Amino acid sequence: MGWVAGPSLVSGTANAGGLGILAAATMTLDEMAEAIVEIRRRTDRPFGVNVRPDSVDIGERIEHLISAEVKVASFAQAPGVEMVD
Amino acid sequence: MIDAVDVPVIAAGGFHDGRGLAAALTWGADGIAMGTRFLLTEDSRVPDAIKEIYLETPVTGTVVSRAIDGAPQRVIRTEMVDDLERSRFTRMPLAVLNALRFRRLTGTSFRDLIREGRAMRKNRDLTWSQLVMAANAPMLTRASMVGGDLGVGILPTGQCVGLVEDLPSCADLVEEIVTEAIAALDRLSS
Repeated sequence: MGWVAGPSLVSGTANAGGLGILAAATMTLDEMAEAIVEIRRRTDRPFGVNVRPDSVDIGERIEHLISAEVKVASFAQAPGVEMVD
Repeated sequence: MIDAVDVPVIAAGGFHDGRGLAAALTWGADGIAMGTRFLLTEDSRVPDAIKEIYLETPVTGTVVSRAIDGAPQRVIRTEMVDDLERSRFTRMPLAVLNALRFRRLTGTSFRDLIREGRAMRKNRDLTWSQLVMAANAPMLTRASMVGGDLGVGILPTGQCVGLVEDLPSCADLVEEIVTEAIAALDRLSS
């Protein structure tokens, strides 16, 4: 999904009734934030964002998803219990 | 898996049509996840020439390779992949250059790059040169999947690529899949 699942595909999927997952593991934190804004311009429906528990800024990424009220987080490797909480 | 857990289970791997959805539901899954099938839609921003390569790839045209970033990954079989398989550790200078480019792209500092590197080595038992190659891989994939560079040839794919032959909109695709799944389940219960 890296480099492929961007705002167009994610919002297209969401509008079609599916759950699109943004490939944010190949984006910087800022790019991820921008992509989320762009997705919301294109759809009202829920969507998810992929994160990698081994990325250095995982804490900030998760904080951002929570404050942006993203409905679904998808983890590339199994997350620790603390992350899910 | 479905018997072992209480949470919803989404089946993934090779799904691309309504019959697959019906089969997964029959197994007890709550739904399916698809990658390749959705890569090949109008809404996907992958360059047209790259989509064409995917559409033309037959069922025998993919390979699982560890040479790209150390972890097994299915890709369309290209000269680049054959090359990487043959000469894994002789591409050091290029790999170092791309590791630096990737660092800039994702905003990772040198210290963090080393830290991530140590963690990755520990988790996947890689040598340093394999690790540098691993950092290389995203740049190569990006050149193909975003840049549309036909010469690079790192094209991640699922096994079902040989069965996908069209580029519908997401809306048409989802409708088609659901309709087909309902028809399949009706056929079974009639």
